[in-house]
Amino acid sequence: MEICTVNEYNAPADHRAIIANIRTSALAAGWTVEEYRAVDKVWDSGVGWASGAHAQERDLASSYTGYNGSFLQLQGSGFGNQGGANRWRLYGFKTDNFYLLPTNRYYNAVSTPNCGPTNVITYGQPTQSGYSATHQYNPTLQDNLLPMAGLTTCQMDCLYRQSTFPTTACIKQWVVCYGTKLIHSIVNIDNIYFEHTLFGVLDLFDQTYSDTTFFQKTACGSYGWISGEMHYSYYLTNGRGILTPYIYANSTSSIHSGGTVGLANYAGLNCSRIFNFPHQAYTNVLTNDYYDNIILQNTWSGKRVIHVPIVSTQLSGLLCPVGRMWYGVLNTENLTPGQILTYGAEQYQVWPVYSTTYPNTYGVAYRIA
Amino acid sequence: MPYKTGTVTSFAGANGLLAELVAWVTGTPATPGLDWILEQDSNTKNNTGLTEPFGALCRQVVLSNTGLSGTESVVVGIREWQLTTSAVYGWDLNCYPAWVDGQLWNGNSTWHGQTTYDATYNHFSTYPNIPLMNASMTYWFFSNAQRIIVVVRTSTSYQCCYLGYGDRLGAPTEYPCPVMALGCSVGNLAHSDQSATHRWFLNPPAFFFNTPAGEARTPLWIPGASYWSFPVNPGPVVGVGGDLLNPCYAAIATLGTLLTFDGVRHVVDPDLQAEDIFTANGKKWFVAQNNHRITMYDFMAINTEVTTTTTTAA
Repeated sequence: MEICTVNEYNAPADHRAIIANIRTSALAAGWTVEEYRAVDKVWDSGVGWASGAHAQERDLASSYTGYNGSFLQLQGSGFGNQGGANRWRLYGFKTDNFYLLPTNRYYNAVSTPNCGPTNVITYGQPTQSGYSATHQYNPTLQDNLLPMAGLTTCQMDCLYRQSTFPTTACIKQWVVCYGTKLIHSIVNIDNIYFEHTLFGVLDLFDQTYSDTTFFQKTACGSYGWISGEMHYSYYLTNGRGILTPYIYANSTSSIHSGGTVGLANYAGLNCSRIFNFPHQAYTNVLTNDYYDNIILQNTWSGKRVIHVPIVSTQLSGLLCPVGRMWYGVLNTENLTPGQILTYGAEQYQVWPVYSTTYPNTYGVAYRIA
Repeated sequence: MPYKTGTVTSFAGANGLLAELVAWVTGTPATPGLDWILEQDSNTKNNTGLTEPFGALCRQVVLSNTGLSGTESVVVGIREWQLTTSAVYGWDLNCYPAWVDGQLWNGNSTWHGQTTYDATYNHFSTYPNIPLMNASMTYWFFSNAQRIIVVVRTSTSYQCCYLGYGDRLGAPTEYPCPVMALGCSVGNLAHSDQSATHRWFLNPPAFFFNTPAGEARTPLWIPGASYWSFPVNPGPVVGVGGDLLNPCYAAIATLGTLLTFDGVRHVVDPDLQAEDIFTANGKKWFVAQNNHRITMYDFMAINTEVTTTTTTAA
């Protein structure tokens, strides 16, 4: 595992503060801030940037009115020529009903606001028909509306739990960066729930590729990390965007989707997936098998095994490892969020992925020294 | 170079497999892994330690080393046995968390609890063992200061055993003796047997295993026998080639992970074949298969510790 930097922020007041902290850490790590609207700016397509309550396209439902908006667009470097594609947007705003927090959109379902000709997000995403059929190369510009057929949930919306997001400040936020490759924001909402926002490029096994042949993005929809929802990996090759399976896809504890979105359903595509354990295969789950025992804390030494998830992709009918996550997974039982574990000369900082109590306290670890 | 391959022409005796192994692992005291010490070396004895059921035909040994730290006590035992009328030959395997000079080869039964002695086959039929044959056998030995691994090709099948320490996931003070004796068979199976209880040491049908508390326990072997189901065949690492070398663990639910096998990794690759040699991390790895099984899940790689040399094309 590579050594990452971690910034710690106390008591972020709301979604705007969390985005501001991500910006601060991103700048320190070398990311380029292409657009930043700090306070009370939402994007109304009919008006542009606007203060106060406006129709907010980034909402769960378009009829909601958003206010207290905040917007950040970042560009990292990636490997080789990935830099131009390692671009991320975070939308934050509040509605009458709940808070929302950073929304990463790395495909152009609806990609307003327009941040100017030099800050266009162009990932070469396929059109809807292209995606569902030939996934043709079709670089698109922002403001194009390209809903993924039947995959409207694949929008990288990192929704902070409406029911648990406090009306006062959160407890703490950590922002993990690996240079301009990765940003992972972890927010301790209320000492029970934790929210993760993770984006960047993967740690490729072969980082010499410089022609954007290999390009990975991952992101996590927070509270269901292990047990549930929204953790995606994208694998682009030669500019052809391929939407890949959910990684933690259902709500029952399976890491891998066995349902409507999964490897089997995209066997003809260059899809990728994450194995949280090297041995893990399609039907394995993190829970209910012996791998649970690997990541438990040893009762005799107090140590825990930290496993680095492997990312594989399907090429020519074979499932080929292409890279790994920047984090490791472990059981965080009896640990405090943000605690540092020492393994000889190495240090790892750990956080639960969901809460300190559920389920079985699975967590992530970043190497910090 | 603690790796050797060759051929022996008989099961036991001067040209036998055990003689070949002992001569090699004890023969170069200045080289770690080839500096094992014979704590016991005699004709094979029965469970009372008095009778020599095979006369001078079979041999039993106890070997010790000081571990990777140079301060530990790794003690393992091998015992030849045979029933020629059934054409069954093998080694009983043992390991000793606490070795006492002069004790019987099987004098640690209080620790592991196994005392069954088959008076027909004249061996400890519940001990881990490795079936062999009384004919030409090709072998691969892997040895360092904490463990010995043996792979043997018997006709078309492969036998294997692991004797010694694993890599403990803690400090020596926390886990003083992570010793294990892992066979590929139990009972009186012939080398050609293809039953479920004849399988490799990654999921051994019989074993002795010592815990941090010094107890003989049954761990979970990870990966076990059936935790595999790739939707499509695995392929090489993109842009790099080769396979992922997956660590192999022993864990106990109440204790967590205890150790990983030293120098042994599981690989899943439909293109692998037994006896392949591939390079990873600058070392050559030997591919062994799970007895007679040849699905893509039935291969492991053993680190030969032989450094790869790079040649430049003219």
